[in-house]
Amino acid sequence: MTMHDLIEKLKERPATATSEQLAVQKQEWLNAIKRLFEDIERWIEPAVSEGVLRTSRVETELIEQDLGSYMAPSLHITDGRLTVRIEPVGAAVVSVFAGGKRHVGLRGSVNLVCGPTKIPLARTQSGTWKAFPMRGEARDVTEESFAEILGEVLLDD
Amino acid sequence: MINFPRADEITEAYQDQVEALERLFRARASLRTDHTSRFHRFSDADIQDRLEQDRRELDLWTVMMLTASFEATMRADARDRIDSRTKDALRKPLRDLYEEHQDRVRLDDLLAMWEGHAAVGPTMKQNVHTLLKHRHWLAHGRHWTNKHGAMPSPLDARAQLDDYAQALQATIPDFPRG
Repeated sequence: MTMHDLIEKLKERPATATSEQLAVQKQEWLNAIKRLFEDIERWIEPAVSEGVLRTSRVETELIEQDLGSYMAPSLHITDGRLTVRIEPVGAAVVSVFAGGKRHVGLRGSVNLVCGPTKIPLARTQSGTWKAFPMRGEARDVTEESFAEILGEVLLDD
Repeated sequence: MINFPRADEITEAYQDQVEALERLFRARASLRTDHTSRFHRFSDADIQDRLEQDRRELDLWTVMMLTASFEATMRADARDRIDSRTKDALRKPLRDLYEEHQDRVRLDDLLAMWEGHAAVGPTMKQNVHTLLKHRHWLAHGRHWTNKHGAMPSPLDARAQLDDYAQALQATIPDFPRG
């Protein structure tokens, strides 16, 4: 390898963020998860009041290449028979392939998991969240769409 | 000639199996009462746990298969390029690599050779090299903590491998050969 080759290889390495930048990125990511969970808890509050759903939060360890190991919350929703878990995947997720196409420009993702169903909910650049089912269209995560998703996973045929 | 399933065959089979698992989950009421079912008398929570474990393993197996298919593609291409005496810039360095290491050429060395000739972006390289580390962890018994971040879904892994292959094709249009 010549010095020229070395310089080119050093230049083409991905830029590394400082530890302060990574700390800010991690905190922003954790705040985004917190806001999503607060929205969901608000949306399903009537079902909780009716006694048909219960929620709880647990802390889980995440390991990401840039952010290292850290604790992040998961939200559990149960109807007494099944439990839907919304678990953070990582701040580094920038694209999701679903519905036969690739969705890019994302800023972190959580998974909605219930049995074999796993639906990525990813944060867009504008800070909103979108659900990306493997089949069908991506949809904004709203009170209405979230109720539909919960119905799809909690209700049987 | 590659005997290993291609990436599109693997992802097609994967999506069929995910849909089957999801439909099985939705049919849990009838499974519980069917005495011929493996899920006879299971509670909802038991069926959830079992099928979730099935999906988790299916995802891991599929990522492993996709990376193995990618390796098969890279190796078959190199062999064919050497045997066919192609006129591109890769053949001679590949031939030298195979002459030096015989049939024990490391995949990392093959990729390094391509990356020295093709314009593969740093993120693409990082994604593929991380996938190969996941594959290593999967194929060697998962007996240590995998610190390479979240495992991408099979469909995301496929997209990352496609990006890499397209970057190689942009420089050597007849990739992959074999």
